Amino acid sequence: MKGKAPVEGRPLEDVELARRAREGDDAAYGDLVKRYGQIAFRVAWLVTRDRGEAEDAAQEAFVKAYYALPRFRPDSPFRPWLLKIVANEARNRARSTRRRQGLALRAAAVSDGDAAPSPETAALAVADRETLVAALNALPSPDREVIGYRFLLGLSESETADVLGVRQGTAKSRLSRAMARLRAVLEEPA
Amino acid sequence: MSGRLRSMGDDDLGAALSSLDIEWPSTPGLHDAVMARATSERPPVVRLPLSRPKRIMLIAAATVLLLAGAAVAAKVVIELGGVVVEVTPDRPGILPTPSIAPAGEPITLREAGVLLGREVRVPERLGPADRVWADEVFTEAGDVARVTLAWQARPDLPEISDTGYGAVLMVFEGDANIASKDVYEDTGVLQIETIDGVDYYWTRGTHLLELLTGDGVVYVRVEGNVLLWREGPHTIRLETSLPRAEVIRIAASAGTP
Repeated sequence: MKGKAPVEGRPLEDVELARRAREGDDAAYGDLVKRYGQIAFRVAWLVTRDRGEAEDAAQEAFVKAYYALPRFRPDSPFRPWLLKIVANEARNRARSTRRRQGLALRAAAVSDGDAAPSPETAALAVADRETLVAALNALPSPDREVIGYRFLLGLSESETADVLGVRQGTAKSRLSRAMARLRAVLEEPA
Repeated sequence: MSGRLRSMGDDDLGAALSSLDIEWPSTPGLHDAVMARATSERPPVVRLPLSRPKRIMLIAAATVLLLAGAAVAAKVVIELGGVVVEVTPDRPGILPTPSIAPAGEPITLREAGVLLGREVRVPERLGPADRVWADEVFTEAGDVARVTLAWQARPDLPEISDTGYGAVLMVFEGDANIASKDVYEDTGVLQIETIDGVDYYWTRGTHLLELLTGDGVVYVRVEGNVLLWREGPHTIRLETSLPRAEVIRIAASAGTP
């Protein structure tokens, strides 16, 4: 790697941390847990919509990923590999506990004192945000998941496909159908 | 309802979604718990089969609610180990196109037996399967196998909803719930029959199969008639377009484990 400037720092660091973790460096794995704890928890929460279940699912998934490290290809991205395990674990728990009617997504409160909102946020009126979140909550779970991964969590198309365990083309068509259903909900009379 | 949102194209709607500031629950500290568990010994695999009294109680509840045609306000859930059947009054507005559930990788029947830890008992009335596949999923109970056998449609096995197959038999290993069937009260039927000590669960009508596969969760709309039963540590699912009595005869032709 010497002399070759990384295009993005984080993916290379992941590769190195994952390589070290595979070789038995627990501190390296601990760094990965710290780095991806939040997004792992949020992926699990999108599926379970229960904080306790999501915490358990994320913790269990990290433990399973640790034991599965020998099967992890060191040249592949760590984050989607981990998040796929998280999503599977969360779905298992959601299925076994039958907690499908969990907490709804909520838009964060916006106060006048918030400093410099992003242009997009500023452009989206509070009422529109609430409408959009309500429409998301009205979607079937698979639709909410794919939209959540792609837009709420900002996963790439490729990562979204990995987490769903499908090919990228399939993920795109699922997203497209989910967006169509979201639009249909938005068009329903209040 | 905002006209602005309704008039947005997909790109703008995507941008609006990306800009949403969601009130996520606070992220718990995972590091210490994960590392403490990860660096200790791998826990043994524990499987807790559903107790017989509990299952009987669930069967009784389902029988009362469904066979009596009572209005069911709450969901009825029957756990068969590998498969959970849920009867719900609410049918979603949109369901996937009918299809056969993804089955994994092609293998031989002998390999399937090795994977399941016992011979796969093929119903004699169906004859040798035309296809055999296996899939493994990673669950909290460890790696769980699912073996699928399929028979092409033929005169005595009418085709299931344009799938090309006349019978599909799945064997789910163990008690980890890796499949869930949603049966809708308005269009579906769930009947339970005990023959020679075996409880058979029969579902007819459109239902949704939610299946955990090695490639993630898939949702499959099932139009075929499905019979479920337990064989020792395994849950068996047989889908055909045949009537119930015939399918039970087919199931029974696999013999006693």
